[in-house]
Amino acid sequence: MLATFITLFYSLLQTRINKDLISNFATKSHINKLDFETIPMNKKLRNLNPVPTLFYSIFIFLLTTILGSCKKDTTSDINETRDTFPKIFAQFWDKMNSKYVYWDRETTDWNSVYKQYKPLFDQLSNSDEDKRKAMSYFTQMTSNLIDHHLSITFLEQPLNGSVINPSLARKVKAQGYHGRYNYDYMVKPYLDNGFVSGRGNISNNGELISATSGTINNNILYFHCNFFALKQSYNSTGDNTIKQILNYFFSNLKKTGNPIKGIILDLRNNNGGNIEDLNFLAGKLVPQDHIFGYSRSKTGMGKLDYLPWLESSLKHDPDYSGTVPIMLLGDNFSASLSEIMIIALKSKANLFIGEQTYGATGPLSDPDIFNAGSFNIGTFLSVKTSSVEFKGIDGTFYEGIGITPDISSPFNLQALSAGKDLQLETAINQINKNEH
Amino acid sequence: MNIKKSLSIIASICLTCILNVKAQTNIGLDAGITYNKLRFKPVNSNLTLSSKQGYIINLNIDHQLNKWIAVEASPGMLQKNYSLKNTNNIYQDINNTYLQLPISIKFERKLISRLNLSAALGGYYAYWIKSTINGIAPNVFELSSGSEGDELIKVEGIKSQYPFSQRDNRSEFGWTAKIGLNYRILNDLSCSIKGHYYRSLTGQQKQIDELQASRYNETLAATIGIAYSFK
Repeated sequence: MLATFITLFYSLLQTRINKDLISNFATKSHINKLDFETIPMNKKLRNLNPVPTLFYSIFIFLLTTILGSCKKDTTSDINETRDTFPKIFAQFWDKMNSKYVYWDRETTDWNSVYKQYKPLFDQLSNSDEDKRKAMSYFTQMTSNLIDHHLSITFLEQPLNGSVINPSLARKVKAQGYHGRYNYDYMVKPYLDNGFVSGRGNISNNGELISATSGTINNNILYFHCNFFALKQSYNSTGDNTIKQILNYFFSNLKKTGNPIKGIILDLRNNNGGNIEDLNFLAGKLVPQDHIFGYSRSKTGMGKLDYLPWLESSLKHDPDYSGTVPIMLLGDNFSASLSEIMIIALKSKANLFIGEQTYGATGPLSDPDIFNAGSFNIGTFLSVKTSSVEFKGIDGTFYEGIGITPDISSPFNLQALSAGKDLQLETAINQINKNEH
Repeated sequence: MNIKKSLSIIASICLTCILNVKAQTNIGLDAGITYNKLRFKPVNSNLTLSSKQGYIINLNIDHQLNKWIAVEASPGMLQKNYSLKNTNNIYQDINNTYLQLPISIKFERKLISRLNLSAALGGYYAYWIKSTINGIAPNVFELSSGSEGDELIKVEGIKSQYPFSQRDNRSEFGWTAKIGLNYRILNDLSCSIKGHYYRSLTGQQKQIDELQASRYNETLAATIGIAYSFK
């Protein structure tokens, strides 16, 4: 008691560092903290002179007896370096419980998963056969989770490089599934002479960034890229084809006496990329700033401990008028930032044409900043998962569902084989219809 | 248990104590500051919890059983706050307000003329009435370029009320100890300075999840007060 009393006064003497020092940027902000345990309790007790009265003796005896019997904290004491399967399972389950952001929307009962799979992992040894069994258990455990960014990559032999992708596995089994399709060659015959197309030097999953821009009938401006690293490409040095393509697109947007009556932003087969491209590209296509949704991450304390929702806004680039209507093309593989771009740009005038999108709208970002998202389990596996939960301005959740097009135009392999891109044609017709 | 019910229980106890004024009963008011620590080990090793100050205000009603021993009830309101901070210095202050009813056995001894030393030990019940979160949070869609061309994520100030859920254990039980000095200003009026210690024995959340670590409050408080004696 005396020690705690001294601790109290010690702590009161300390003052918190002025929070005004905190910068507006996560990577620069800082704050000092008070430490409750700066005075060791036992040491201070020894330094005090005991009062030789029966009263105090009884009181201190009672207090120390109770202090000594304090309930020990129940904590999940899981060592990061353990590599046996029961421990790998416990770490995986616990980190998913803490770092996965969609528990408020999940139908998977994660506690039941623990009860069901713990005995199975307890039986596994370190043999190659049991490693394969472990992979099948991880596949089953995560098979219905809604995060469409979720994937698990195994890092040890014989599984090295094997990937579990629950959302893709579900899509492949779904009715009407079609594989990825590269529309690039299909689009070029529609473009007027003088279009620009090429590859940059930034890669994603072994694929180099590529972009195409041109006009259609001299009055529709078209742009496509296979993933988003446009600003990064624009600012990179050396042979910079992407910068030339972007300059072509931007200069056509800015032309005085602009003949452009509509823009087609082709986000088909584009699985997202750098978030900075949202304002870099879409910011030039809108007339003013606007809020398109809300995002939130976690406090890091537990499964359902969230931070408040923050507004997600698109920033208008004042160098561009952004008044031309946009037709947004998307397909089953338009994912992540492509979907965010559709949500941010969609309006009464700007229509989304094509297929239901992939449904991966929760951005991936630094888990150490957002207290949620991707993590590793030792050297056995690596988990990629969203750091942030996202919902639209009207509260609609798109994760695991995707965005429904304003004008549905299903994938048509037969037409594509005949050289007809029906989705692109629908977009062209819509712009022409708007004009009349 | 809702707030109205808790308040009515506390009010009834206060009233009962006041109406049963016989022998010597002291009624007073204490106010001061708290300093709370949440005992919890998060799974996220990048997160640091630290203690935080708050306030306490409580009535103090004690009834002398004999010259040295009294029963004391101290219904009141106090904050059990703490702070979170991750390795990127993104922090939140969690301010939790409780209605609390400690009941203790108080031992008192005269030190010098007019000055008494007291110590009390007992248990308490507290009801968690409000929780707010203030601080900063990163916004994934608010980016800016750093001096070296790197991408910086902006943080925003946040201030919001925490919506309680079925997972929260709003009733808290624990034990308490108190030590104080009372100075008699007049025959029936005294002032005091006290140090309090509150340790919860029940967690802030119900045990719903597997491997769930409990969260316990541990609170120190320093108060000054004034009391009137009924003889």
